[in-house]
Amino acid sequence: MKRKMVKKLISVSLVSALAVSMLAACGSGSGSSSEEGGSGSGGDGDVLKVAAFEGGNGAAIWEKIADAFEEETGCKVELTLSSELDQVLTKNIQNGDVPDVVYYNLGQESGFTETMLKENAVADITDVFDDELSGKMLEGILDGTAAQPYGDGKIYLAPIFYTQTGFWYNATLVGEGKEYAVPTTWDEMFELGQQAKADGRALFTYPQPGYFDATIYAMLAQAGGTDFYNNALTYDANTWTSDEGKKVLDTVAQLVSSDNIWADTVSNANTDGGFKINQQAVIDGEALFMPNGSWVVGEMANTTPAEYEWGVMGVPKWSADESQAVYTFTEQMWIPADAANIDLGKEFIKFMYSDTVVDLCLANTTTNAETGEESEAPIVVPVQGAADKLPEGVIKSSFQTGDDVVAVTGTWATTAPIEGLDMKGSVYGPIDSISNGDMTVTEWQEQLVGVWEQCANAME
Amino acid sequence: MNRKRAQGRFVFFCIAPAAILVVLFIFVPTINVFRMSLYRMGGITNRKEFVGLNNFKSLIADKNFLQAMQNSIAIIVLVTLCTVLFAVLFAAILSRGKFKGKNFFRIIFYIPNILSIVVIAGIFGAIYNPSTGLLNTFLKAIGLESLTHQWMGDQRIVLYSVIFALVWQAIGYYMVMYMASMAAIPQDLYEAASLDGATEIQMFFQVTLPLIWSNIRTTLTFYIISTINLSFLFVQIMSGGGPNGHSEVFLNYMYKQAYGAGVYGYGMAIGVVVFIFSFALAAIVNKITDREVLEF
Repeated sequence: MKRKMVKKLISVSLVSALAVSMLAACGSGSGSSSEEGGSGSGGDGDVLKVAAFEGGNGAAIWEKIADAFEEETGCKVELTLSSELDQVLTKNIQNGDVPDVVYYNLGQESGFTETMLKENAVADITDVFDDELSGKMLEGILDGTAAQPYGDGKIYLAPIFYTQTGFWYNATLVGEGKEYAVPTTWDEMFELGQQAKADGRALFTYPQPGYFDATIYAMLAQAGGTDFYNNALTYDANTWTSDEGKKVLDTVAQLVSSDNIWADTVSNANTDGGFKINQQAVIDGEALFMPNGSWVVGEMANTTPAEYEWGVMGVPKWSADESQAVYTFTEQMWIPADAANIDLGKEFIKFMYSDTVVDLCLANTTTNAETGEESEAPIVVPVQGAADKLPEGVIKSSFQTGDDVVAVTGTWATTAPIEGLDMKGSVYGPIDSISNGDMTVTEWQEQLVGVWEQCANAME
Repeated sequence: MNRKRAQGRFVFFCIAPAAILVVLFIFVPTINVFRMSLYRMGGITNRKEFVGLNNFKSLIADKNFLQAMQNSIAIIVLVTLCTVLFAVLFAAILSRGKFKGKNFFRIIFYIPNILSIVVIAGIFGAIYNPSTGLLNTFLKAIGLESLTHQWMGDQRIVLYSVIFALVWQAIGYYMVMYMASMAAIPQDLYEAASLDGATEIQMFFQVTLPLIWSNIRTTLTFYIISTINLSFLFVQIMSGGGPNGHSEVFLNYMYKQAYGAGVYGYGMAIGVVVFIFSFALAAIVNKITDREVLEF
């Protein structure tokens, strides 16, 4: 009897030990992470937690910048680099481990920065840009909604890098003395389309409909001027019903119509990795132009023949005597509102515009993971004169300057969260359907008017 | 009495670990999804606002969601129908037919199940590619150029292209399941039927099908659950829901809303609807396919 009792006791205690240890294992994860969070948030001010997205620019640049900042200030930089930074940070922030500075762009698939803005979880950093710093920066770069996402005059996002976007083309075929001349107006562009079609080539392709963002921003500014453009970004009700807005939609529709578009574009645009096939079509001469940014050079380096040349031009104008609107794509750095070291974070952002960082960025190189080859990948900080220091070549020529160039920045303004609205899908998604002939410009216009109304109502 | 109580205690402690794990990892997260669907939250920080059933109200008026729902239902119905038909047919042929290489075909049919979804999506990417793809190249080669299409680009076809890939990968798995239950049917039933002068087709409908019916019923629930899950994976890799939302399915839409649009609570509301929908559908299917179980 006693022995039975002992047996039972042992088995019961074993089972409960198992259960308890499992529960303890589950609990310890959150316990230790909250502890980590605690030590981080109680930081002594000498440790700066920087979280940076590891993208096309490579990881090395961030290590160099961190070292330079440590040297300059004597503080310690704790760097978190990840190509899936949104997931890493979501987990960390929920556990109370909030970084002090974050480099993660607007416009990413995850919408991480947009969500942080919608949650009002990004700190106001207007005071970083004092007269001295803002005087040094590119004109207008701090004015748009890419720096002032709520359009309230306060800066929340620091534009730390920039490129100018436009139509990238096959310069082996297009250019002075080449098979086709570079068009400056839409009429010339569409005439070129006829010529290309006769030669069995398509005028245009696009990697994915989302790549039209920069194009449509530039076209809106081109069609209606800066005020019209800024009103459009903050959801003016007449944006798409106005003549200017309608002109933009009609032109895009003509550009992607079956006369001009490379036939496989839509099929490839939606498959995983298919955007590269569309980009390759330009390299292979099957299509002549596409909307893109300077990153395309590095992105397609593996499949670009040695004799191939890239060219870049602004989005065509409606009339030759207009000034050229060029959309400037910026990459943003920001400080979470719950960060422990906001002041040191602001120092770091300021440091991003120093000569040291400007030079480090211009000298940036990346290593091809497949071939191990190192290639130049200069990054340009939006301070005056930085782009002039770029080596001669297509990337430098993509930074257009001059009296007749109007630089345009900004993104659709941040609104309160809207259930069921996918901004990219609603604005650019219809381009696929228009290209296929399954949707008319009027239907697209109606959809946009609806979206603009929703967004205007949700502006804070 | 004492012994009974001791036994009860023993059973309790034996069941407790499993019960705790189920509660912790299944019930609690599910209840959490229901709870979060009542909030407006971004899902990154812990800021949230209680909005009651507002997320569900928005859902009813959300055209994109209704389109995704419509697509998902079409996929579930068509994939289930086609897969059942082909899987039962192939299973019957392979288990009753007398020809060489039966095992070979069995393996061939089963292969798609061993492949990961990413590989399958890659294979279909290569099949559907408009210029270099197997399908269009083959059609051109046999002189049927008029039948070539933009399989993933044409919004009237894209859903069927995804459905074909789903059916292709599912047939082998269910075929093996049906073959297993067909193998359990005693041979003498067929012999008796054959003595009565039944043809192979009659035997299939009068003997095989009624005797594997309970197996088919069970698999119908599997179809619903696996098609909902797999259609998300296929769509995410093959079409991203495009062009212009014409291949969007509700789980992909939920993912985009919860993790891309900053409305996590709304995403959870979609999750709740999908949860209830799949439960209800499985229950309905179970009810209408209810027959008297035949035994042998």
